[in-house]
Amino acid sequence: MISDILSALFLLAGSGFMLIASIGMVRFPDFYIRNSASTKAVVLGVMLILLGVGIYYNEILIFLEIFAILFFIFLISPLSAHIVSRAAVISGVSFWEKTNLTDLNDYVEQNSLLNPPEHHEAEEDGKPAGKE
Amino acid sequence: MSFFTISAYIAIGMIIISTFLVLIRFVKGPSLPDRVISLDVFSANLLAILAIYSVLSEEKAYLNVALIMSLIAFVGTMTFAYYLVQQRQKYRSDD
Repeated sequence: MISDILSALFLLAGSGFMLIASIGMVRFPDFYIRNSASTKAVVLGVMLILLGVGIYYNEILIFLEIFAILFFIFLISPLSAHIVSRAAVISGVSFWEKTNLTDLNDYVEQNSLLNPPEHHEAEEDGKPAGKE
Repeated sequence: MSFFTISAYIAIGMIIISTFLVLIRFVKGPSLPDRVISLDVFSANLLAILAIYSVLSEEKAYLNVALIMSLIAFVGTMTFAYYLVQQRQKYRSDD
């Protein structure tokens, strides 16, 4: 009985976090802010929902399986967010106009992210990343 | 209908609402990376629906499906990111 109530609370909290993540996906002004919001809230929501399912079943094998899923999600989600954001910077997705881009411009210049060494005479030379 | 069943149905309803919101972003999204991350969140929503449905129908095999789906979503996102970078470099080497 008490495990049912605990499991129901976990399920409701997790689905609430996933709803918050989706509202953030619709409302936020910029790809990068949307990516950050959706990644963090979705990981927390899936974690809470899977813990609720494990508490409901209350078996050791189910807990092992749930920890496998959680391990993959915790490994995968920051990795894919980082790689998609990097690909977006390289392919020139525009930033929100209020974002402070000083550190990013330094990083892009130091690592020659937008201008690979073999293509130095490309047309975007010297342009800041967000203004395309 | 117990308290647990009602709250599981409410949770499934909230996740379905959030899936529709993600689909709005998928249709509107001004750039391709927006659509990629909306597909990522979409697959996470499907994973959560599968987990809750496995509780409702007392069928533990749906958790295996959820495990496989998280891996497939990862491979899909990686493929799209690789495609974005390659497309950009091809465009840059053309001009």
